[in-house]
Amino acid sequence: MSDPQEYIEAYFSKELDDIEKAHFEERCSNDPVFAKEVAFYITSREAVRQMLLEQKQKEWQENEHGGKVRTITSLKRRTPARWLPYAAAACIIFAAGLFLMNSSGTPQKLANQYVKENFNVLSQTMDASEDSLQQGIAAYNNKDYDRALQIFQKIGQSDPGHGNAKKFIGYVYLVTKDYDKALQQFDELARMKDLYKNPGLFLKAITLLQKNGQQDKMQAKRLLERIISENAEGSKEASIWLEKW
Amino acid sequence: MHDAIIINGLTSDYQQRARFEKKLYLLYQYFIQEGCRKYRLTYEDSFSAYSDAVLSAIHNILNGRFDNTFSLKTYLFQIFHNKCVDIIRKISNNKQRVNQSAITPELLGHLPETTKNIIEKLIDQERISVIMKYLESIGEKCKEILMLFEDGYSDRDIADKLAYNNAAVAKTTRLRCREKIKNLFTSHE
Repeated sequence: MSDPQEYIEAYFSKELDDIEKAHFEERCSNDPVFAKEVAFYITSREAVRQMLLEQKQKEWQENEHGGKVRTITSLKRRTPARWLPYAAAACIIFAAGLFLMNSSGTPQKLANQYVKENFNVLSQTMDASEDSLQQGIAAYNNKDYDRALQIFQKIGQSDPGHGNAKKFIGYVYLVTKDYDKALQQFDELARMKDLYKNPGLFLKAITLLQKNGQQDKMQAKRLLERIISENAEGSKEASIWLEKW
Repeated sequence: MHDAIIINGLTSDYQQRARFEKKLYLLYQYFIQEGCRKYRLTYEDSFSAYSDAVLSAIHNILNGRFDNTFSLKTYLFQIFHNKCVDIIRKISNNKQRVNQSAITPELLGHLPETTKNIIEKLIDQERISVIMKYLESIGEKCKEILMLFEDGYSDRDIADKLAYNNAAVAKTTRLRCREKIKNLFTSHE
């Protein structure tokens, strides 16, 4: 198999045996030229997929006469109701109230909000049978935190450099309010050097804000300041939160 | 409509498959409204998540990765939910750039984490868009063969549909088409 693209295709088509697979993955880490070949392969496949999706969208939306299928929203032609001005006024008052509440939000409240918005449900692909990380995420999303923790820890044991496993173990501890263990995970994550993006410090600051002891708050503040000065992951949030301090 | 009928239709010949793809799309089209209501996405984003989810579900069915553990509706909704979460993250990342996960090419999921981190750095939407432009300049036949392969057709299916002598010829042609794009892309980089 002299053509590198054919070899790369064999990997993604699952035609390589375990030894060949390991060799392929090692080359991605040690051979930058080969890594670029793999990146090109994935990029070109994704470009074709996006083009295919555009074509399918057109086909699926067309009716028998070649026109666009009317969507549910376009079928409804609403007439303004009499109560609409009152409802609009109520919405404005409600929105103004929310704005005032938010503008006086403490960093703790903002951190709570952040956890609610970002850590309740994690993104997952459906090919779960082939990726134990996905199984862990599925368990996490089903709030089966014990199982999720087991799976993430197993991945972490077999690959200590697995940043996402460490991050997700930290998430489990964070949402189950086991803050000290979460801090330990995020601390270890922050020390990992070879990650593309490392949110370790920011996650530590969030955990400290959730823990909310007097010392914790001071430590979180120092961390947020450090994140900003190093322009690390979360620096934008950090500057907003520090403004509310 | 019973799941088995749809799955049977999707795994039939080219014409049937196209019909049943559309049937599947229309059957759960109301998910788009759910995406707007439940995840507060714009109609365009929800539509994009839904059509992407339908395409992924179809490919998983064709590759034998749908095992009937769930109903087709539940399965499709789970994929749709993930796509919505990805879009929410992408929007949030654009604002905050905290968590790294945005919508990423599905093939990246085949790689172990350490390798994925290395390769992910070399991929971005700009490069994808450049290649989409090049796809328009490599000739209709080349574009078609690449699209069919991406749509889950085997080299044997492609050989039948595009009248190549056999699967090996279809594969060689397909790899040459990819090579054409690579040459254009390399000169661009």
